[in-house]
Amino acid sequence: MGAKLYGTTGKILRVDLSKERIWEEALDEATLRKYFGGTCLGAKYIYDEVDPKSQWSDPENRFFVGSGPLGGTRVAGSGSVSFVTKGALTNGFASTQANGFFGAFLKFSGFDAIIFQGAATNWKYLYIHDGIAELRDARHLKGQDTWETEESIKKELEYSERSMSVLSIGPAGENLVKFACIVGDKGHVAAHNGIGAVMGSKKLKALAVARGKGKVEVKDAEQLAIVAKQILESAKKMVVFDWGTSRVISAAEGAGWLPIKNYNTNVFPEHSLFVGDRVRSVFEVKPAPCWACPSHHCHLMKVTEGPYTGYSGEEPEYEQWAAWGPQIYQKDPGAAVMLANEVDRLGVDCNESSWVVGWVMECYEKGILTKDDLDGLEMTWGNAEATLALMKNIAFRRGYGNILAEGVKHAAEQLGGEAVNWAIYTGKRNTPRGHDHRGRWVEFLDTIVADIGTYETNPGFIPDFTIYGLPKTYDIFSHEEVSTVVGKTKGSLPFLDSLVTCMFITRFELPLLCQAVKAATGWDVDLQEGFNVGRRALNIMRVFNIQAGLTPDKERPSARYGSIPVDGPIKGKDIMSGWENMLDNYYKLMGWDRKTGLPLPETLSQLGLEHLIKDVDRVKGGN
Amino acid sequence: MRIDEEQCIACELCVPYCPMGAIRMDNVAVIDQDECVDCGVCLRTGVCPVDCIIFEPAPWPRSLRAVFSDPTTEHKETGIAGRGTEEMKTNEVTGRFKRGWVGMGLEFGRPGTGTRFRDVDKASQALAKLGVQFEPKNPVTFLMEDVKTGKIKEEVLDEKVLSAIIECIFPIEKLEDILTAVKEVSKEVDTVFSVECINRAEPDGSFPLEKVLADLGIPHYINGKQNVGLGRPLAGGGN
Amino acid sequence: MMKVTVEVMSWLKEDFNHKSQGSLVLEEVVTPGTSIIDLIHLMADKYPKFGKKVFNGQKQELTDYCLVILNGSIVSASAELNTELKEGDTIKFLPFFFGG
Repeated sequence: MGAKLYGTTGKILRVDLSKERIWEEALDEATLRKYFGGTCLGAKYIYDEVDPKSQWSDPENRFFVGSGPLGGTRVAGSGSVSFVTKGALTNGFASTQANGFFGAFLKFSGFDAIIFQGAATNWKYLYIHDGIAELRDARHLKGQDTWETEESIKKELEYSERSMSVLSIGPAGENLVKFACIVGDKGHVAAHNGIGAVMGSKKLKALAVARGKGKVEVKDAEQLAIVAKQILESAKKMVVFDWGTSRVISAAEGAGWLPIKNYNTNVFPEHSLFVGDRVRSVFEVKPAPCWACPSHHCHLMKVTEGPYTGYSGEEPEYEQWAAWGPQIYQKDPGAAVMLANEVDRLGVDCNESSWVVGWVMECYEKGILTKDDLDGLEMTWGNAEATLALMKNIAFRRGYGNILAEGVKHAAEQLGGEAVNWAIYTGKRNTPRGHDHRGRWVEFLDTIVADIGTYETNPGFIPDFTIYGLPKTYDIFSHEEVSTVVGKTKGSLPFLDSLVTCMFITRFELPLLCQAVKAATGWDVDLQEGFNVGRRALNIMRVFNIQAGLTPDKERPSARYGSIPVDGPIKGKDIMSGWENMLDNYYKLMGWDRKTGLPLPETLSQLGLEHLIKDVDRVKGGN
Repeated sequence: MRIDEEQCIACELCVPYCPMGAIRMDNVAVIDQDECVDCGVCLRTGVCPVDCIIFEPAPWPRSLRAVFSDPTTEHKETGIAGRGTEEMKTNEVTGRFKRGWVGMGLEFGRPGTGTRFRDVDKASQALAKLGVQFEPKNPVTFLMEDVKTGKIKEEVLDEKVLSAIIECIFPIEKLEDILTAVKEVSKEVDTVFSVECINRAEPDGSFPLEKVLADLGIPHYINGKQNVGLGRPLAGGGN
Repeated sequence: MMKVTVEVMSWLKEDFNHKSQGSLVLEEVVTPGTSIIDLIHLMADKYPKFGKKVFNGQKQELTDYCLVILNGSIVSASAELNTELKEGDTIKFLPFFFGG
């Protein structure tokens, strides 16, 4: 065999849903050290086994669900899990993570990852317990929302709340809504690029893994405990540790990156009603921590004011407050709690949904879409009840919901005319996350050039830029400086997503994270190696995506996305005036060919991806 | 107290609540059974998000820990919850503290330290040597083999509790010797204890106790209780 | 002397020892010719908690701790920090944060 493995288990669970066959695949240490786990390992498998020119819904699409070397250890937030597949929205790579417990419990059962292929004839769910996996009948779960599915499975298998982790799709995934997501552990979401639809196309309703009695065996437990503590100390300095993400809403509005009324304005004084320190004192909250996490981020929440008093669910993240408050111009935080949870239950991504709803509301205001067009719904700005009804129509593909379920780019182009200019989307078909990117240029660029259907680097969470060879501060509205920041920080987030750990705890001092990997695995990993794993993942995805048709000509925002703000703190900021220069600079820093979009041979060689050079040559040769 | 290690999600929320600091993080949270006094605070806070903190009633002598440390339990012998008798603090009901007598309480383990009965035993034996009378209804008195020697039963000496109080009474003439002995004991114990002296005031309102303490150079704080006088005292007037 | 308004927002208020909800509005009197960076120095001296976070050690270099908004527009380039203030200007301090 090989040397004993620490941290990683070296075992992949393979599931062929067409043949209902389950088997185990062993991974050697060299492969594990090169790809770690999670996102990078998933990228390798998808590239090696999926035809980039195929459809996401083809049964031969692989669906990778992975933890990594730090999964299930003492590091806070090491219960996260990474999903990698060919996504439904862009038809290119999808890589998206959910926090909670799944990754930890998967490791306890002795697996680094699960890879699904094929499609089941009838609805199934996968059940793993203490190293044993079985496919179980899920026909009776069809139609249940994501929270109901979690409860049903725990009940029928007789597990208590936290002795099992369940991730499932809701009606949206079942109905192949292009931006369907996966939800589990009461409110944790793997959201982007329609991975819920991929599960739906395989008739895979849910993944359930029992906690069992297993433990992760690490190389140096004492050292890992020390480093885990240091990582926590670094996280405690950041505002998310005490407040989660909902405290930033006011900062967002003040700085011009809160998305308001479909980018029609940048003024929303009601932000003070939604901001975390207010809602946490007014609404009832109860802590709901993830695996090994002592932060005060995740909570359950009960509404105590307004028409939705009594509504109970998970405390919305910033993204959900933004989506169901300012983006749809809705001013009651209680209604936002309701929408956030109902949409999670339906299993639809809140970001994509809010851009769809915002666009519909604008079309309704301008008379382009009428009540009849919208199956009787009066989609006035801020109408929460109508929004809920519309989201249900989308999840069940009823009426106009069937068109909207294809994403806002498709719906806008289908409607045609002026309405196309009001929709917010990228040329690759996905939409941004819950921000007005015209006030956040780093993410504007990142979202559009990204290969995973969402942003890839998120420099906003980096407290110290110098480790990337960047100056401490930068002009956030300089085309050159912004594109340099994006280019140079690329690789840091997929590094985390290959371990797999929660960004809110482990993003801040990456050298500590490298020490954690060393203590867990015995591998002497330094920062450069960590970045390389991240960049390796991104380069694999880039070569694949170019072949899938996601070429540089698509790297543009929609008209509204790239528009110039008319009011507020970012009035007049014009990103498009320097767009081409930004792309030029970015490509140079990534070591990619500006015309073809493909990585240069030396870039691939530097990352140990020489075997991809022949594919790159083939594509350049016109195949 | 015990943490179900198959349910614990290692979130560390319980750790700061233990008065004894007995919860530490291993793979998951673990309670050090020897340092734990079964006070149940960790459980009563309700802070555990997965409800995995368990109290399993233990056999004698460990059962003593909960009885002394958890204020919601009662001593079988006295029917009283907690660490001491209440009458020590008031005199109307029992009239125990006559003029010319001093009541003394030695309260072991608070704040935040806990005490083993081994240390309590050192003090009770030292006091017994000087001829004090131990309060019959006090839970610690029940643990003595013989109130004449003050020796506490061998099998409980290693048990740790949040706190325990020795209560006794003696003529005021013995106060100086007793305080000296108590000072000596304080050097030999591995915990903290506070000393309470109770004295009935003279008709002119003065406390004989105060003069003795002042002469010995012992700083003291006078705590009084205002009694509303709703009951009829069992003790008569005068002495 | 001239008057300018300084508004401190969101969790930055804690560095100014201000606990309640709603922003903190301060009326500051400064000498003419005071630039934005001069004003930040003044506030850093007055409110040491803020000063420790907004400036970097002995170098007195500005960190990216806070975002500055002058009369409703974000001041993003370091050169703009030398802009001289005028009577009645409003300067907002926001935490510089890009949340997810």
